[in-house]
Amino acid sequence: MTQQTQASVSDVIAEAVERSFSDTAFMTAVPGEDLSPDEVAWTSSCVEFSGPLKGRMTLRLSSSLLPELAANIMGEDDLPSVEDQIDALGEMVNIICGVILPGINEGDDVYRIDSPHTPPTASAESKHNFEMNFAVDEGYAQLILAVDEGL
Amino acid sequence: MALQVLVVDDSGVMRSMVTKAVKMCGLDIAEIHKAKNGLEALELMRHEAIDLLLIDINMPLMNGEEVVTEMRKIVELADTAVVVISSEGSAARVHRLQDLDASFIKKPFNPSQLREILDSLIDDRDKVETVHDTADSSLSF
Repeated sequence: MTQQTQASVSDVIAEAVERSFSDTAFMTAVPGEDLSPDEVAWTSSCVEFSGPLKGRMTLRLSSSLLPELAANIMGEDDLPSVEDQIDALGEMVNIICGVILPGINEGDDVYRIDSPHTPPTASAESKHNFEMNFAVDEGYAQLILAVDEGL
Repeated sequence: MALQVLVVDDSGVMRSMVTKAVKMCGLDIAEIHKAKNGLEALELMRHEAIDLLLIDINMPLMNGEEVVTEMRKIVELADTAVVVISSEGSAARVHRLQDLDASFIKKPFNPSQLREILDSLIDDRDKVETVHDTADSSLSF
């Protein structure tokens, strides 16, 4: 994979995450290379995808942001249930994935995106991995794209 | 006229999200009904006069496209305004939906983008209704 491909995929990821957080949850996600959210307690959701590209995408969010994310997505004043909070994160990674995949290939290809699930602790090795950190309100988000085939 | 709206999605979070977006659009809404699959939606539409249907594509039992195809065969539902919501927006899918006289919006979207689509959809329906009204009144003379 060339540096140009790496840079253009990073641009697609940044734009997709920013727009998805803004339009769906009214939250501001700002990409930052110097962010180092190593000490953060994360909640994660993952989708597997297939089509011209095959792999998986994981969205990790500071657990402290999860109630706000769900409440904003659902438009509720009351605190959403824990189940709804997890589902909201799943919907978010599904939406982001639906923007990123056609953005990388720029074709009119059809992708199958499976239902979101909590990823296993140890992630499988992939051929190409992209990881990007974002500052989101008072916490962080991390998008991890693992592509096994297609790049 | 205040609109009767139906939101169909198998995800409770997405039903709430679409409901929130519809409320934020500023349209005159009478009531927002919800259904969690296509079969439930068709059953509800047999008893409630729905003006606007917002429906997800990927659902168990009956997907969004199948629901719209079925609706167009039912005289009472054939003219209902439909917006299909999906995170997958290939040209082939959009063309199929246009053939079914349905609009399409790709996730993510904000309330103003949804409003734009609803305005054009409702304008088109009003024009059709006006033509029908004129035809009806000319018949009554």
